[in-house]
Amino acid sequence: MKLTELQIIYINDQLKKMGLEYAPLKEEILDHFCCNVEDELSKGLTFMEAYKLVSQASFDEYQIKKVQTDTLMITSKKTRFMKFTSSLAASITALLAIILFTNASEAPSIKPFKEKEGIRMSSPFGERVHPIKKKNMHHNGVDFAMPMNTPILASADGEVVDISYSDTGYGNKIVVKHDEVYSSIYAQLASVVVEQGQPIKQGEVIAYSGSSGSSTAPHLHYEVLKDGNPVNPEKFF
Amino acid sequence: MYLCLMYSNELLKGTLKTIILKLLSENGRMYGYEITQRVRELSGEEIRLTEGALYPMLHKLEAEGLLSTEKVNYGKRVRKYYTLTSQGNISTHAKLEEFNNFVKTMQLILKPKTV
Repeated sequence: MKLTELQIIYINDQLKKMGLEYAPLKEEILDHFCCNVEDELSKGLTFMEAYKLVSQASFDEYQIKKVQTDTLMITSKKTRFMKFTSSLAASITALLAIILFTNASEAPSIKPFKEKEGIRMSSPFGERVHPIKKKNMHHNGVDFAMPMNTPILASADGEVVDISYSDTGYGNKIVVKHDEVYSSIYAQLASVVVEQGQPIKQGEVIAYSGSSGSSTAPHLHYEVLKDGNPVNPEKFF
Repeated sequence: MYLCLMYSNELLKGTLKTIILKLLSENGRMYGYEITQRVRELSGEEIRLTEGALYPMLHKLEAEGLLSTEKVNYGKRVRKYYTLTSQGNISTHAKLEEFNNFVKTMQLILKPKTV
């Protein structure tokens, strides 16, 4: 029994609400969910009965988050080199696009989120006592305390050059290369919605905030690198 | 990780890759849900793969170059099919041979003592 267009839209919306946003998985998780529902419909259940059964059995919020994090981890950690070679053509195209369509400098020039209530800078750039290690350490970026799943924006045009995860330190992290001089790093993310090698525009949503690394509360750790060295991101807001 | 009635996750952990590669070598192109259904059928309902176990592995095998993918419009949704690459074919043979040898060796260790 095939689902109607409206039923598919309903399921898609629900999955989105549960946090399904990782581009490489979105379509197939939706298809998988729909197949499960169709299976239950053919046993005589109504659509809502079938939907509830499937979402309780295998697609709750936790599992949706987990399958995205696991996929991201497993594909970004072990195959970075292969991805690099297989996406060489894409990189060359992206590079050409950058050379042809952008100015010499693409320094970050906006905050990596939309200003709103509930977001504040919780730790500035520079020397500070590390909140977990309790030692005097240099803070290579700025932290912004913000609610979970706040959209994170690219601070300038560029290309996603790295997506990685570590359970200590940065958590889920994206590195965007803006030009030969500037890059920016977005860390502690709950989820990532871009792919490695993808060209992105300033202001584009690239991820959602979280608390995925060494962290005491949801926040964004944001760094700007100039020639590979961290500089104070506040200078670029 | 798996939803399994008879075997522990620990026991199944090393077999997922072999299961996926073998199914694809026999059935040509398959999509995720189809793989879970086939595993369920073939195992007499004893092994049920969860999407949480399946998709990260499929994406890993794709990233390693063992699988290629193709997206097909299926009504209002998109279905992603996986197929073995030539490298995937080689890997399947190697994995199956390794696994069969492993089973034989385990039997040597575990077989009842004959007098």
